Amino acid sequence: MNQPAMLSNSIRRLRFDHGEMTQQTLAEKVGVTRQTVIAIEKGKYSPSLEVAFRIAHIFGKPLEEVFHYQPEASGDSS
Amino acid sequence: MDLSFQEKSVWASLFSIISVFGYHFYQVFGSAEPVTGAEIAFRLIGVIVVIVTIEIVLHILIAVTGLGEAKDAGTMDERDTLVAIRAYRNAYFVLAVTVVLMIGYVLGGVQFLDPRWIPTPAMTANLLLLGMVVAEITNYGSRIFFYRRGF
Repeated sequence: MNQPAMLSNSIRRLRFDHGEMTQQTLAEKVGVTRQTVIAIEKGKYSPSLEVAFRIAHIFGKPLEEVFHYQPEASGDSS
Repeated sequence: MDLSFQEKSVWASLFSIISVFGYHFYQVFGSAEPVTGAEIAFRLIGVIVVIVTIEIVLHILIAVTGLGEAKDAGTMDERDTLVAIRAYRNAYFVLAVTVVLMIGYVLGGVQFLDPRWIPTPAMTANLLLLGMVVAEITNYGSRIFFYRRGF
């Protein structure tokens, strides 16, 4: 059964902050299709570690500022 | 709806396989008279030619109207690859079920049913082909599902 993505990201905001970079430009720099960038931004697809690092490197940000992990709420706080 | 070249290609393949094989199986299984092996072979050659032609035409149209995305035609990025892998897994399951059902069909004896369904070589071949087509439709359908819904 597919699990809902627990990763959110700030890619859309970072694109606009970097000279209103288009999705196509980001896709070409990362090496994926524009539709994959769209899917990542919408949370429909969680990229591989390599692609995630490439995106962060393009924006000059650490990975944690680009992608945000949100674990499901549970009783165990550890 | 923003579709990548790969997704448009899947839609085109799904359309061609459903339309062409749908007509083929309507002709074969809807026939009042049993179809011979030679007729099946002749029909299948025609089916293959028609499918290849439709696929070529549709993919040319996709490339021409793709606004520069035709350069992605021969490549699959990681998302495309993952979608394909998951879809092939679903299709494999369908194909495996088909094989099991066909074993039962051939060995089980269906004489009590319509005489057209007695496992002649031509009928067996067509049922196997039907299973493969259903598996392929499962493959394309799964890809579209994963592209649209995400994973």
